[in-house]
Amino acid sequence: MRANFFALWCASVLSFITTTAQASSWEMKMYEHGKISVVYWVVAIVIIGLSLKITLLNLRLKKEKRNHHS
Amino acid sequence: MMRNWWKWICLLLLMYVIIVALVVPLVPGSESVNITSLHPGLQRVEITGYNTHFVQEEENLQCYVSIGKTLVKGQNLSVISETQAAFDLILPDTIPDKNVGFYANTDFDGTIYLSTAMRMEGFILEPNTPWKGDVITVKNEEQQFFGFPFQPNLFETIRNLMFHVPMWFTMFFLMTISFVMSIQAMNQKPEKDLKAAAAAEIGLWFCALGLITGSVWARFTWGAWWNKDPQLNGAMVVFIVYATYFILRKSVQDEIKRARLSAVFNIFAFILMILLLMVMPRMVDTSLHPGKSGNPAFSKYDLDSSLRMVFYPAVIAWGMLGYWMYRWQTKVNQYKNEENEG
Repeated sequence: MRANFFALWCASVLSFITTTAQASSWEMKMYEHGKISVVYWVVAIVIIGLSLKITLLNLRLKKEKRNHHS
Repeated sequence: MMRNWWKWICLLLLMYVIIVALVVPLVPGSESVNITSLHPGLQRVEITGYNTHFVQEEENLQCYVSIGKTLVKGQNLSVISETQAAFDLILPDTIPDKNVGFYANTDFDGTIYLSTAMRMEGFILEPNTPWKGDVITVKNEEQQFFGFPFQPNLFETIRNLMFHVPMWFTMFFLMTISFVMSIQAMNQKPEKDLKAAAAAEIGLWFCALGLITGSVWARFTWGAWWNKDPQLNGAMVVFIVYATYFILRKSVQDEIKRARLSAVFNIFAFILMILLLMVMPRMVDTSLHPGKSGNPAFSKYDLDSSLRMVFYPAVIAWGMLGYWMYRWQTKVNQYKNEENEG
């Protein structure tokens, strides 16, 4: 299950980075007004915020499991 | 692998939502005109489009202005760039109406429209004027490609719909789970209290993300990080109330007592959340949010369903992720509880 979460995390961050990189080359054509940067901020907040919580959950679960077994 | 099928669906949907929400372009739209007033006689007007193809479609481009129901065709049309075109407008002294709209039409972009407030200087207003305007032959009113709707106040930020709004849907979903678990915890099932706390904790996280993303969006759309909007203030109160729920939980050591007290608090918090986020904003006239205080909802802009194709999967995907995180949080809570008992 943790592997799935890790895959989700990596895939989300990777897709965000790749689409952002692509979009920067489109800016002259499609995103002339800079408002697309607001979208990137929002996507980054959501992905980083959820990744942070998932990481914290993962660490806590590891710790609790270790305590449980010992 | 088969046991976790829904997790794979969640991952696929999330990938789809993130990529499609960022890649699909906006349909062409009209952004502004260079004038703030109209007067009788000759006037040069420059119209600025967004994602338009004026150079590519120079041969087919038509610009016209509506005065009430009468259309006036622009003369001496010149294309400045893909998004800018200028034309001469010749208006008579007597007009039937003061409502003005600016249009540009090409085969590829369809008809783009801008309704803007104009000062009407020197006109005689005569509703029954015999002036018929020009006959316009529009070849194609629809756009030739798929894209998200263009809204003059939102521009590209309409994509935030797939990230900001599902945060609140997921929060509602998780708080509902928490509410149900709390009711069960009241009915002699204190073990459900751990599940209620887990759902509320993840829900609170989604609430925080909804607040932050909403604030970023509001800064660019409404001009301020925080507005006197009942929905915004209500969301902040909900956040504080649920944060207080965790303070209450930490302050009670006895497990049974904590389960009971937390359950009662959680039930009231849920009712308060419904009142503050779903009832109150619809009762007042000061909300800036779409669908509240008589403001048009997004669905009204989106009859072509292009946003729905991403928005509905987004709600499902973020909701599934929230549920996944809730199950994980429940495990953590259960381990911790067993440890405390041991």
